[in-house]
Amino acid sequence: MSAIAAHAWLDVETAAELRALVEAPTAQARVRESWKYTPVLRGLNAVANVAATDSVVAGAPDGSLRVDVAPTASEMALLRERACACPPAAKLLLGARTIDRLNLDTSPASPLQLRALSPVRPLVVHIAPTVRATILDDVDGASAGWLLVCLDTAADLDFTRVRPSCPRDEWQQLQFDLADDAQLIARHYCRGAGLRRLDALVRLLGRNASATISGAWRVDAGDRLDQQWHVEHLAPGTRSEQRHHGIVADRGHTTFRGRIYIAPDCPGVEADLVNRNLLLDPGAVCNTKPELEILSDDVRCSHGATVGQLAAESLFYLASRGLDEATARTLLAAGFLNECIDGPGAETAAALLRTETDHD
Amino acid sequence: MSLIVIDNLQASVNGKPILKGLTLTIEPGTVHAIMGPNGSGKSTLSHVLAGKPGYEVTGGSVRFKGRDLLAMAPEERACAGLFLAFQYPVEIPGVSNMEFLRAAAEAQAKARGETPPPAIDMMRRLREIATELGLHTDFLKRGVNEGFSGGEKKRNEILQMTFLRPALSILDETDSGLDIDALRIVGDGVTRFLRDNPTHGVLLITHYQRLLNHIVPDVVHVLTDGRIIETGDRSLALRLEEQGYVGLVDRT
Ligand SMILES: Nc1ncnc2c1ncn2[C@@H]1O[C@H](COP(=O)(O)OP(=O)(O)OP(=O)(O)O)[C@@H](O)[C@H]1O
Ligand SMILES: [Mg+2]
Repeated sequence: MSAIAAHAWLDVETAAELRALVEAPTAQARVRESWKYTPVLRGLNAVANVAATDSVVAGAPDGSLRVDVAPTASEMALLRERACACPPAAKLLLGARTIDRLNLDTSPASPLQLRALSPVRPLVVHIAPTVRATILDDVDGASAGWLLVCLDTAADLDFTRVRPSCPRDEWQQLQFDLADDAQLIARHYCRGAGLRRLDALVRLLGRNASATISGAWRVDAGDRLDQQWHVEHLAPGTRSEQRHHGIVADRGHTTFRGRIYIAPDCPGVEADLVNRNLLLDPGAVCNTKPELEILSDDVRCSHGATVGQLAAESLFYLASRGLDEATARTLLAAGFLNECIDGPGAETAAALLRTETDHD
Repeated sequence: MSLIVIDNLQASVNGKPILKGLTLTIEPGTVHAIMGPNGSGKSTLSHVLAGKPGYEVTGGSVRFKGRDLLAMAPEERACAGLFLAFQYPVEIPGVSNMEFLRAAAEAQAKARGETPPPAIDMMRRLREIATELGLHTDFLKRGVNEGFSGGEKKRNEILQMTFLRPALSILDETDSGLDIDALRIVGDGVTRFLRDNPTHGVLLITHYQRLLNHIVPDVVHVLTDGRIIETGDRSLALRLEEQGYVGLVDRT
């Protein structure tokens, strides 16, 4: 217990609570569900095994980045809340004394690049009211990043993360909290990894906040990808739209869970979720599960998940123009992913998702 | 040499015979029209010629420019110069028209042992053709047929034909879904294509004589129940328009 107490900003009870979660990860049904297809210990080890590196936020406006600071009380509350829902987050929190903080009080003139975030320190980004920002997050190398972005009233963020394949295990946390009228575009494009686990949470906390989320991935070789997208509508008039397209080839293995929660007394909410998957080879495995928890009336909500193969009709159409089967398949697969790819990282992402994995 | 020689072709779908001994020869530089009632096997013929999976050829032969067409894979047929304008063109979201046609032109050039033209020339040519066919050049950037109207899809088929310059084009009801102006634009486009490529041939499948006012056929065939029952010149189409297929079938 003494080691836990050494974290000045973490009270003893919370630390013990978190540790219990980490050490008995199956204790909560919610936790159990989210770790159904990926052993939680692998997630924990992905966090435990990474080496600490210095945090760098390239292109951050002068003075807006504070490295290695103690979290404020409200930040702490957020981190604790998050950690209780996700055991690896708790583990991470137990190891971290400090956070990195980026305050965007004015709209940056050009896109910010996030690079080489410390895998053991959460990065908390605050976007001040009405500030508009573009963030390109192409984190290189081994990392188990924890990124928490708070969008204040009417803030506007265009966020893109592009992750290449890597042979190691990797676990990442991504959270966006949106105040009144805040607007988020979030794009997540990735390849697989030994294990790549993403726990993403978007909380629409303020009236009329809106989030547009797109995802595209290609997982092949023996890679795994496990994504958990939670979108929580916690205020009236909030909107979310999600489209995720995934390709699983070779012996790739993917899990997608898309949960939409609409809290009580939130009329006028609109939420849409689409997850389409293409299985290209017989050895490929894909789990997909959309989940709705709707506790309000007067909302509009749609969701759909499909798993299929390349359409014979489309293949024949391309063949009838002279394309051999391999070329036709490559073109169709790229087109399928392109439907979800746009924004400032589009070219990088399209190129990343076009090729086959070569790490083994 | 004849462009295509179809001899006593028989084909079934799911064990059901559709083509029941179809014979047809097309010479370079000629336009043939096939007319026939719904379900008579016109699209089946076009699919069997293009190599669509799911059809079983149970008899007969097809020689295309002297080669055994039925032994070739669909993409080989295309590379050898056979083109099908689909009755129902397929949407390929996420793949732009431009990218698609470049890939097709490159594949065809490669198969013929030619060097494909530089990308910039292809793009210029595509913009030129699109303009001729009354399609905004934005269509080249959009996904193949993605969200196109019925008529736009048909024009896009003709755009592809004009760009790929096939020796034999089969146009399966390209006129259906076209408004009056579009019909003229497409008709003029095909006529211009034939003028620029005088040794190429066209097989038009249509229900309506009005297309034949724009693309004048050298030969008109009537297909019913998987066989060609009558062949004639342009006047046959006019006669059909007046009498319908029933009169013709009764007489034969
Ligand atoms: N997969 C299939 N299974 C069973 N029958 C089929 C199949 N595909 C086509 N057919 C039948 O084959 C016959 C010929 O169809 P085809 O599409 O060739 O007609 P068509 O002459 O092109 O007609 P239309 O003028 O309506 O386009 C029809 O009776 C059709 O129902
Ligand atoms: Mg037809």
